[in-house]
Amino acid sequence: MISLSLALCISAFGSLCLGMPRHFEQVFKRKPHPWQQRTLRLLGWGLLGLAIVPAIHALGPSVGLALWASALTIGALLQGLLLTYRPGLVVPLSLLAPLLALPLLAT
Amino acid sequence: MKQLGFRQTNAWLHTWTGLLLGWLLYAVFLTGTLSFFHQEISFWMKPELHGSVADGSSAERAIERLQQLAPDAAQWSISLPTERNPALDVQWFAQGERVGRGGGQRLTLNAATGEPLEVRETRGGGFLYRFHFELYGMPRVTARWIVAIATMVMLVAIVSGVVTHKKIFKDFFTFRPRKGQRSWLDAHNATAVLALPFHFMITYSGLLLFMYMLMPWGVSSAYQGDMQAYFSEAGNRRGAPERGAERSAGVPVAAELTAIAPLLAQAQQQWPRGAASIQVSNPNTQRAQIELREHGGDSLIERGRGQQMRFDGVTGAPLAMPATPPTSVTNAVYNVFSSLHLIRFAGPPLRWLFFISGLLGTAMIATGLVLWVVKRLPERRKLGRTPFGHRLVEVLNVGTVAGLPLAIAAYFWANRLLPAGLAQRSDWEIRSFLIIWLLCLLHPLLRSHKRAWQEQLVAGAVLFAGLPLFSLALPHSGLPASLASGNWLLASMDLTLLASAALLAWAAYKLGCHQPAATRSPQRPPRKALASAEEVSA
Repeated sequence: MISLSLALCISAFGSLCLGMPRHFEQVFKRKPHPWQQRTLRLLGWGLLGLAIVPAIHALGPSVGLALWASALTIGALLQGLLLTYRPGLVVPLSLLAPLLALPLLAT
Repeated sequence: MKQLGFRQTNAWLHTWTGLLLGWLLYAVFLTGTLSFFHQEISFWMKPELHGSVADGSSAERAIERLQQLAPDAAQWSISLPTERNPALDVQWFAQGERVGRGGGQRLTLNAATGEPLEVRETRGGGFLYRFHFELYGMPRVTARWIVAIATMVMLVAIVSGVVTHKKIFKDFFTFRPRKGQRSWLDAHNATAVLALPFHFMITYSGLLLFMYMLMPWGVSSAYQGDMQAYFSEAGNRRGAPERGAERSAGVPVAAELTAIAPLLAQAQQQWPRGAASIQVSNPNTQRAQIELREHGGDSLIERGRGQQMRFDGVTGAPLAMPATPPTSVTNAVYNVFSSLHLIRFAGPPLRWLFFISGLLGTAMIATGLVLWVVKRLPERRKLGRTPFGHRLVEVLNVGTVAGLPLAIAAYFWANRLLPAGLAQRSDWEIRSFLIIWLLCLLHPLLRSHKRAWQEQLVAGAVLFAGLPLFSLALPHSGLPASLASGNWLLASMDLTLLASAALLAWAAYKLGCHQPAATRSPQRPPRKALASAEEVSA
């Protein structure tokens, strides 16, 4: 559950950074349409909110929120580093992260 | 003098509060971050415990040992092995002795055999933990005031920093490497803003913790100085009367103690995390009672306080527990923040997340300190000499940012090398830490700025890398052995030491590649330079 929350944060920040024209251009080499920008931002915020759910489900409201806050940090840090050094990986990682986290849920 | 705008005022505040207390805050943040793992560090620093492996019957072995050592004691306390400390700690109080925190006799037992262990005398991670809010070698209250004021300033620096770096959210994901001052500013911003919720939480909760320590006037005037009454009214455990006081006079009648295993099994059914400790009062008498305490609770509001179970020590029948009072709102808020700060509740994954956030905070302070110097390089070049103040900041930067990790490595080395029989051994460990740190603060005076950085970083890397190697020579502490047996408590400490060494070596290598901006031939395009000069208002 912790890993799912973290994965959703990674996807959320991936989506949020692509919602910023500068970083969209960095990854896709073109300017985003306004609707793309809006959709990506909405999706990003939505995923950030969604990431609270597994955290609270696993650890209860108080510890869960603390976990969520530190997962935000890690997610944003990771995407920031990717944009700097490997912008090509932002999209694949954002898509794959929640899928990778699912098998870990069984354990 | 020209009136400063709101942003400039904040920039001024941020720069100077940050600089003046930055070194202290760096030390507090780094040692505080390590304190998230202070139990693990303490365990690593006691290699004698590394052979201890807990199993299902460790509790019975502890009882057996206590039956031999102190069958007619007034009370036994047993701390059961946990995932953070796999050894048994036992303590007993003789008849008539006051039952309190400091008294009694203590012993550490091997959880696998019940044999007493001769553990080297060390303060372990506890020293780093204490240092992060009480420093060392000065009156406790003074030191706490100093750190509390620094914490307050940190809060000011966080808020004024957000105001100062106006593009902090626009540049949220931005890091531009190899661009001199620009990169330092990016790194400073990124480490600050990415972990902003953490920074705010840890600083604010730190202040709340200090509040009770340093400003008890509200409480003490309301309760006429009777803090005990306040704490018991507030439902805090500290106020609970010692159970030793319940003992009535009279000659105890001997009776055999019931077996502990069925009681633990009962507790295990109710508590998924199991029991943390066992307390037996009046063992081997008719009045014997056994109390089990739960291993860390779930809710921050309860401050991670576990439940208790009490049993009759002869029949093993469960006894009623006094009801726990509900937690008031004020206490709930205080409990949530103080537990967050101390992460009382956390399992290893959350501990690691907090640890990384703490390292980011440490990096934020370090990059801020370096930024102060880098930003003033052009001014110095124009001036043609280095003003005394700039040199002082450089020296303190090297001695703190690179010197403190080096001193911590020295502390660990002292732990390994000092002979076990040395008088005041644990004090000597701490002295080694302080001496090396002092040397690190003096060393940059004799070397050029870049040389000083490189030499201290390399020395730190060598010392950290050597520690896991040295552990190979100890019977149960080597990295391959702990990896093979899945002893992650030890293995992760060794791996972290290696990672620290790699990080310091990498920093030294990067510094070696670095060419000062003056010797680089082409200047940046003027438009961009102008734009960044405008942004950099810190």
